[in-house]
Amino acid sequence: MLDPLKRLRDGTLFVSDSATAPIVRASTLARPVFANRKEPEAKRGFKQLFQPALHEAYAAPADQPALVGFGLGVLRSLKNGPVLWVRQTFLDGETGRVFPSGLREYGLDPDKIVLVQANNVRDLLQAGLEAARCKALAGALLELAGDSSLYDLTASRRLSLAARSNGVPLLFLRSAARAVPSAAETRWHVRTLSSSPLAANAPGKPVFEAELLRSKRGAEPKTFVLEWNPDAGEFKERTERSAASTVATDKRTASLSGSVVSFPAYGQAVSDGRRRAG
Amino acid sequence: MLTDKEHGALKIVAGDERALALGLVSGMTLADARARVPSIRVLPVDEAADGRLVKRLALACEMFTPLVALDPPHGLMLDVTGCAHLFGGEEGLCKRVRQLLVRVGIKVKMSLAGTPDAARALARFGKSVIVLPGMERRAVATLPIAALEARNETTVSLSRAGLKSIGDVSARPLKVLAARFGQPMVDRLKRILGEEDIRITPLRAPPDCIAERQFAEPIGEIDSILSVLSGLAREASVMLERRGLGGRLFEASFFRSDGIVRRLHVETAGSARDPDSILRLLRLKIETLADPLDPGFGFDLVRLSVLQVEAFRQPQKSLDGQQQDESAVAMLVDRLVARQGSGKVLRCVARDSHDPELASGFVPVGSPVVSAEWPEPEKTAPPARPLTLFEPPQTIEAMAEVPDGAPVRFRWRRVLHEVARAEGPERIAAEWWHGEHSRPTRDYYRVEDSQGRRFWLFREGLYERNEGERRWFLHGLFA
Repeated sequence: MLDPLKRLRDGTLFVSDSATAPIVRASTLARPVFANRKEPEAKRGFKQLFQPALHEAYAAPADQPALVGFGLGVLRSLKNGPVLWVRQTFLDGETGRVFPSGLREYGLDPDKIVLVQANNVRDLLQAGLEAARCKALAGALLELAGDSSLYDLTASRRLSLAARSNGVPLLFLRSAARAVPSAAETRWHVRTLSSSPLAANAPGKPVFEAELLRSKRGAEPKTFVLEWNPDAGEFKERTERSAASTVATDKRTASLSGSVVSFPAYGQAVSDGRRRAG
Repeated sequence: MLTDKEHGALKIVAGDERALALGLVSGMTLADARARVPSIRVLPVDEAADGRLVKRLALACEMFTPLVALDPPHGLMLDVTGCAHLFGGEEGLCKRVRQLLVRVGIKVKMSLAGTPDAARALARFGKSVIVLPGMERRAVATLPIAALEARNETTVSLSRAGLKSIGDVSARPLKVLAARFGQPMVDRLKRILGEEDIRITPLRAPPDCIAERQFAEPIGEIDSILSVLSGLAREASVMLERRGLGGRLFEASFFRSDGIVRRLHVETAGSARDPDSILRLLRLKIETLADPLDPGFGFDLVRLSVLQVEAFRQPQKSLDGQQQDESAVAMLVDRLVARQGSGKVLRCVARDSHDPELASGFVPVGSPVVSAEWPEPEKTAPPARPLTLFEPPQTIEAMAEVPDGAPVRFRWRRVLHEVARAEGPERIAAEWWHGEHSRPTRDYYRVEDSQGRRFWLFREGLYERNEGERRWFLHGLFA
């Protein structure tokens, strides 16, 4: 327990904001206390990085599903409320259409999701702007694959302003795109990681690597390894990429399933222990 | 001069005034006409285009009454019951209708009478007149018997009997006429005489609620149009409120002075009657039109009709403000629908089916489809269904170590994926009640490759029974 940050989180360290302010327990601190101080701002957890504003996440084309999973996860963990999801129509051919049963299995409430199929980037940005102006939304997801000259500094500034003044978190998901200067609060790069295997080497819960590339508030660049927990609707931060290193050894292990039985009684107990790490 | 083919010869079916003055009448063959006047201009007749024109005029005539019907050939029937006073009496109304049609470049013959059949007979076979109520019998008396529009034999035998006009026929006992020529002819006679009335079937069902404004001088400025619309929205709102209704589908019609009508539709997610929100949606619609509202020489009349109504649900004020949130989201949805189109804004529905392709889907937000219960996902397990689904499933090339096991590697979109983890099979049989044509059973596998990408694959057919080639497909992508 030498790490002061960890002690702060656990509530075993007390801080005093100023001479007049009463001593506050760190774990109950709300945002305003830290708002104008850059130093602690930089050290806050993953979720706290998503202030209600515009955020960008980039990914390689093949990581599009991970990007969507990351975006849905972030919005769900911030608030369980109505979400607007704006998607380019052509993505249905590239990644398949959105599958509501899959959203349910991912721990979301499909009744709270409104999907907008945008024919072009203009419609997409327009719908995004409408969403940013609706205070009642828990957030909005904008999926824009490929580069577009329409999404420039002005467009992102407009989105960012609307999102911030109405307190709506806006996630701009960009796959197969080059980063352009923008007014986004944070910029991320998302990659998929191997999951922690379950019994019989079954794929576990989704794991992503989210690299914080840039933050307006001055948070240090950092890489998070996140495991999505559909039941809690939260990401669990993992300290090491444990699963990735084991791929080589597991690779040849065929699944133990028969033609009908999917889980044999014996399994790899090790994996369970590993999943608790972090 | 218009011609049409009849029995292999080109015959004249219509001519303009100059042609008539030269003695060229319809029914003449083109060769005869050419022999008399070599310099005539001839065009083939285009029934479809005529039909389109008449239909367009019918819609333009909706500015006078919502009950407009086509009256073929080339006729329009307007039910103006209770409308005339808006245009300064029947005289004024007829003048306005004539003005509109003449401006379009149409020669008009029109009559106004107590029954549709009387009006038709007078317009087609008599002079343009306005018949006072109850005077139909006198008005039609001088019309030729052709106005009965009966079968040819009927007309011929009537004239052989010396009956030349409607008046002559109507003087005969109806029973005798019915015995000789059949009941339909007598019914028609009665209707022409104004003794029996039928309703016309309008082109479009009359809306539930209409608010409109007419202008002495056509208006064209977008600002004045919007201010008119805001007044109309307020009127419609009062009307709806009085009846305890709210609108689901609104239509703004703009009647241009040259007979062109432009209609805009606005749909709402719930029943609405707040004039401001109706106006906001209309304004959005006008601003985002692909082909902007062209006033031309100005609009004569602007109308706001409510095409679909339902009982208005009073928004309930709750303490936690949740209701407010819901209505805020509903308003956002309305704005999106107005801008992007109703087929572009979707919500999820669950269906009672274990076939993954049928189990859930998207429908437009305004659709009345009710969602089934969402199945509860298994606790602590990773997601069992992918976030996206390919339709149809994508063919892949897969290699399995054992024929009934998970694949070891597979190729999808040219890339080879080494399978690192797999779970399965989850056997999903087709719905057997679809009988012979149901598709083969599928064995699904959740698979993760060495890069950490997660896929939903299946093998088609039962391994035990299917001796042939086993085909593999990729059906979805997990996050």
